[in-house]
Amino acid sequence: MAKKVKRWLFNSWIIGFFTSCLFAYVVTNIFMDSIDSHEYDSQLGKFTYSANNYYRMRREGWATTFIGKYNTIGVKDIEKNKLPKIAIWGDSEVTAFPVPDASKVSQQVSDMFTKIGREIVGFGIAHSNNTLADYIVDLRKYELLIPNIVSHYIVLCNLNDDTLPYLKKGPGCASFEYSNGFRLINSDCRPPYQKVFHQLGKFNLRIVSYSFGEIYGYQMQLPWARKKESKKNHNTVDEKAIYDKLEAWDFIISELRKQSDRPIKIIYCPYRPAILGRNISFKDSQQKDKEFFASICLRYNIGFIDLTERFNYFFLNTMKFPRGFANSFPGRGHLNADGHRLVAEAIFSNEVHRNSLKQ
Amino acid sequence: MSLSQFEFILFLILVAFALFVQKNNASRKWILLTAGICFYCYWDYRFCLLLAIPIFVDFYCGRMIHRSIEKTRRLLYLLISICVNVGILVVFKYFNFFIGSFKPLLQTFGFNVRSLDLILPLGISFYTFKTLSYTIDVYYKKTESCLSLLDYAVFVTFFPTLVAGPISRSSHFLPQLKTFAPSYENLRAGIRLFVIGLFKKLFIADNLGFYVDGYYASPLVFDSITAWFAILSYTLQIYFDFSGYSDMAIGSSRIMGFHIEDNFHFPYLSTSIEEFWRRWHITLSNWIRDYLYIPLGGSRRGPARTYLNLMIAMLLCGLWHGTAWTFVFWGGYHGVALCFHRAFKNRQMSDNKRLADSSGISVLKWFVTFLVVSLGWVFFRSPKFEIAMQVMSQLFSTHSGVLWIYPFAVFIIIATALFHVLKSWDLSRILEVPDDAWYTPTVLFSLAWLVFLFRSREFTPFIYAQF
Repeated sequence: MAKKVKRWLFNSWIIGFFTSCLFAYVVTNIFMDSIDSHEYDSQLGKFTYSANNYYRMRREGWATTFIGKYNTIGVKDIEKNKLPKIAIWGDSEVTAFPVPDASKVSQQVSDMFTKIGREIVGFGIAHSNNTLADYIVDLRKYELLIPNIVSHYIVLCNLNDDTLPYLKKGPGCASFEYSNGFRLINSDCRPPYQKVFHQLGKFNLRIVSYSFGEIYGYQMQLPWARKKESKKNHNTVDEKAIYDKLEAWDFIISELRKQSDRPIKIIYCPYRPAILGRNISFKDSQQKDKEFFASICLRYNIGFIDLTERFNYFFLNTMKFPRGFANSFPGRGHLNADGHRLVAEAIFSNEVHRNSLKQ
Repeated sequence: MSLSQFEFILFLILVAFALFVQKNNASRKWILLTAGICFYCYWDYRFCLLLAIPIFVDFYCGRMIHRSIEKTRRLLYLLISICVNVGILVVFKYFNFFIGSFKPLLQTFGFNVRSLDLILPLGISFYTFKTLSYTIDVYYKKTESCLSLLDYAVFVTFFPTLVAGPISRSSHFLPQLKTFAPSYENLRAGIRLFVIGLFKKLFIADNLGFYVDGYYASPLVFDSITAWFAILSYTLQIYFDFSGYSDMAIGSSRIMGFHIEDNFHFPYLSTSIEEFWRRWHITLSNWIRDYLYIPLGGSRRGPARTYLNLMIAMLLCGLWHGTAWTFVFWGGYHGVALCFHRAFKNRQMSDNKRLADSSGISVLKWFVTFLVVSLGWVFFRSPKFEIAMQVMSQLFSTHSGVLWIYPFAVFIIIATALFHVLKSWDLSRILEVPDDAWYTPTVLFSLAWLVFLFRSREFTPFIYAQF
């Protein structure tokens, strides 16, 4: 009898474990982000987000994003659309997974043109961790794949990490390097463990990918892994110090200009205003870099729109930050719906102004 | 090694396994002692010697008090024990605090005292109270003196309660050393408590901590509504953090076959501040009552002396918590609240009037108590007195600023409120997880999943472990 009871109890723990796994599966599919699933795109010659897929974001904000072909964000079948288009390039600020599709910059731009009776479509081309090097490599290809792009806008937030050699953290695609001169190196952007994550993504097995990541993260904290990492970082630091910032910018901006004769504009979205210490800081820490960068852009006929003033003005009027979400720290992280609106307004007014000059 | 770290879980499994395998009682005690020392050494091996001092001194004093017949001799050994324990506590915990606080005053008298470069030894406040209670109990003949140094060393270094309690009494713990044995029932009950504690700490308290820390880092930036949400969140954070720790400590002990005293009993259901202290950090409240308040005369020497005793007890309770004037103020604040409550109670008794126990009155009493306790936590949490005052002024004014309502905090506030309502209506059984229910493993594994999936990215130590 006692054995029977023990066996039943033992079974209840095993059954309990499997039932809890089912519970965890459901929970992860409601309250956790989707898996980054990638597929090879033969036309772009690189790995992109799996096309015609929905991406769920919960860690920061609470939204679902539609990803079309060629890493296009929030718009279906953009390649079939014949209307004039504004391409908005960027990294995770433009994929904007934390912001619902309706509030994303691309959709807001389209809405603003619709309101004034103009049929111009805004659409995002983005992938997290992208840099200026990626836009340069891809710009020409996109002009061929997607018809009637009238102008390009590139959203930049960090003038160092997004524009200079080696500085971007995490796995990038194209890279900007320096070794006896500057050069851009293309790659197929294959993410690590792409096949595994693609299969896991198909079955929404976030629970497995998360566990895998946690084990990897824990292993990285072990003393020998830390030692290896610090050695690697030490080498990177050595590499960073050997080029001139202004020369690097001059090279990369000139390369950008060479890719297209259509209008290109850089929209700079600072990390200000933000809570720093006990106060709110309005002063952009990249002020000097911004001035140099803008002057180089001007030299190559690339527009530079600085949103620092707009962001500060918006905060002072509404006491709301253009960055941050209810479930993250206010003023930090990615652009929120208000931030996207401010960017959209800047693009819209710029386009209206440009068209009026043309007419 | 914190109880919420993966390393501790591995350590606990190892120790529990060794205790299961070993059948000999003496060997089991050696295992526990070794585990306790290893646990402490993992933090800082240099402080093991400091831990050894009270073990040897109090064991010896306890034996001598027991053997001595002369009252003065007994008193002498008690004083030696008190001086050694309190002396270590004062030097390591309070010396720099008092020097820092009274430096200008000392300098005016020509004393140029420098602060010492000291680290606060882990769990010093807790094990000092534990060892003190032993010699005092032996002196008052409330407990027998411990005959075995090994037993006494196991009592002091018992690793689940070493860092932040519960402050176990020797009279409760030492007898268990004769018969303790891990069993399937203990294991099951222990795992249950441990997982629940882990859930409270890592899932609830640490995620609330993100919001609370964000608010307290720059309180003036936020508006009054955010301030109210933040102080409410801290009220829950500190409860879930500390009660989670207590559950984990009690659960770990249970896995090894020990029953440790409860530390919490739904403190936020209290309808008076006196009741709150009977439900919050019960082992500390009992310690202060038994070894401070009652020896001072308690409530037997008239109202004025009672109020004075309450104030002394609570000011020292505040100081015990931390070396900052905000903690002293917090203690004094609770002392004043207790005095008011006592005065109110006395007046009711003398007038022979009693407030009708209608549900409306009970809700009002609960609300006032909860509000007093929550506002008190502002002083407890604020790093400086001026910040506490800023928060207070923000709470009671229409301060404009950034509005930040953290959805997780709202969810926890609502869920906790619902659970407490069910508890007060005696309906919480529907949410309880009995040891032997068929669904308990499913619930525990699910809670463990939630912890694994949604725990805070950064390691956050237990709030009470810093005391």
